[in-house]
Amino acid sequence: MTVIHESRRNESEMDVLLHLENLSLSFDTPEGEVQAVRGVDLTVKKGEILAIVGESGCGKTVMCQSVMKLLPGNARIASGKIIVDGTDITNYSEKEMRSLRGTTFSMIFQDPMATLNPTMPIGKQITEAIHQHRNVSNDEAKSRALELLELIGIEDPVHRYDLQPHFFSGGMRQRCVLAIALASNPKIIFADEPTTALDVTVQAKMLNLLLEIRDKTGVAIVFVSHDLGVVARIADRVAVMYAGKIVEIGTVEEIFYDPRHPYTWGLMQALPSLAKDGQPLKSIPGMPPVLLKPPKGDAFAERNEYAMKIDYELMPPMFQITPTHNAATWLLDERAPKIQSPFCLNQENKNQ
Amino acid sequence: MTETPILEVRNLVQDFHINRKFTVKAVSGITFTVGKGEVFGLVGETGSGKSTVARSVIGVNRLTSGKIFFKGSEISDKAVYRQQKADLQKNMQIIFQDSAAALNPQMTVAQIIGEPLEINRLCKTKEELDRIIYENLQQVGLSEIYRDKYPGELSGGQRQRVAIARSIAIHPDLIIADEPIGSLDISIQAQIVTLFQELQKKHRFSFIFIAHDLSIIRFISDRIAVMLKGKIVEMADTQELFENPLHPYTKSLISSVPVPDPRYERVKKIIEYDTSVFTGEGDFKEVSQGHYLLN
Repeated sequence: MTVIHESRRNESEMDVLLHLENLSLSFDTPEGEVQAVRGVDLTVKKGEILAIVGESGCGKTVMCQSVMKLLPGNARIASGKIIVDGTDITNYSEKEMRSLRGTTFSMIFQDPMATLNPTMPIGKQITEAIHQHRNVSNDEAKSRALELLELIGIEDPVHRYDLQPHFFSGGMRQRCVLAIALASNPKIIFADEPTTALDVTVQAKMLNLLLEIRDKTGVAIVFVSHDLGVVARIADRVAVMYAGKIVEIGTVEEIFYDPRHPYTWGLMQALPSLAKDGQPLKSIPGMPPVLLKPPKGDAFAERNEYAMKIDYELMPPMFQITPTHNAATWLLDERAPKIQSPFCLNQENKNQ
Repeated sequence: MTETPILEVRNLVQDFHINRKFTVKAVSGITFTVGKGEVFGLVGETGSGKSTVARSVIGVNRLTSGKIFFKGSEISDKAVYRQQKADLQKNMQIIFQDSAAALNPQMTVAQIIGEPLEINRLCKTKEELDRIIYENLQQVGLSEIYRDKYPGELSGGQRQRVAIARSIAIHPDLIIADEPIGSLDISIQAQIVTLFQELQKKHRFSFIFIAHDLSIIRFISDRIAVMLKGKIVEMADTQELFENPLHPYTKSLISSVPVPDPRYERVKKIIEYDTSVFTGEGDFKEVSQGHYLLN
């Protein structure tokens, strides 16, 4: 673990917006303690798009919500720190959090209809968000809202300003949610599967829009997704999560062209678009572990065909491959047998 | 294809009358055939009418117009349908996206798989029934311990396996799968798709696979039809469709699918197609061997 901390010192402290330090998060349930996030170390830098990938239940959503403190009452931060812009917000009260939500971070969810108020005109929902944080006149708020609608690519914003969400298509609703999220210039947007419910053509436009917004406003985006195609399009860095831990993290090139963790290999091999002609898809056998009693060693060991004896006994530390690329697998230990990645993303795959 | 296709759909039109002023035109005149042992992929965006086609084919909807032939007999004709009802219900099976809604929560897995076998009188003794249920559980990769579980105790992937086992058990000629992996995780999706492929190879049933995910459709289908606003805009063999897409909507769809290759994605041009200009008019004609286009 020490390896990572050294590398972090090299990063300019100025650029780091969000720093999760050994964050663990548990839910107290009648059955016992569910360890949803287990010792996550993560930084988000200014203006970057960090994608978090993993299966459902791996803790990716919970991790984002823990930063915004949007979790139910039975959740508690078991250990670790959340540092935003150099300030430790781990023990912030609800009142203090409320001033951060919207100004420092915003969140977009999968289903826009669940976010929007169906009875309220879109324009009013945006100005509401503006008034919440800034002391501005109604006219100023309105002109800012129109500006935002323009920014997110809604045609004829003056007319659409007064329409309720049901007049909009799914893609446009998601854009409106983005406008609300952007209303008071947040530094980080957590986007939790924002394009999953959209059609591919609409999804492509939404992804382009997110990239454009990032370039124009310099906002950092934490993009939670299970779709590796989408991640390849949008991300600068990728963190792969499994059973509440980050098992591999690196730049998008490192993760896609030189993945090191067997779980990342498994995810890539499960993609139909990367399968070789006539060959069956390779799937990861079994199911993710239940985090009520997480296994002692590597949580992935049971599904891992390369698992060694030590995987069942001791959790692997983060091994550094390059200053930006880390993976938690014993295969990277110098004593481990050298295993060639079974998965290779070569030029042939660029066939579309 | 010289032999009689398993399924032939001719000019299927499906309107839904909501009230006097408003009619939803879900499907407006589509024609396709599915050959014996063929995997036919149906792809399109939300609301393009894919599911309506599936439901019309299995006889849930009363057709507005058009004809459907199953193994050469016209099942869209009421009299024929009634006459062959038992046979049709055995030989056509559908698998839905939401397996939680498709399985009776008060029945055990064994009862769920056994029910169609009993209704169709496919086994004579209790022992035979038990054996078939066991075999089918094995086939879909579930062990014996799941026999007496209820759907609520299973994960999404396991439930979908039970739904598949139920369909496979009675050896249908045609299986329609309507977004069967839409609600599953990536690694589980791969498991279910692989299962479909294995079973299809083993039993040689014809298969209509409906999805909005082009990469899955491409992986599993022999032939693909692209739907837009109740019309098939293009239909061709999988390889032909991807190498030589002709309709602007197909091109736009193919270019929109995100490919898990960051360097490629960064330079990729997305072809845009404004679907509001699409009127659905034109003839659906064969432009080259087996490649149909609405133009």
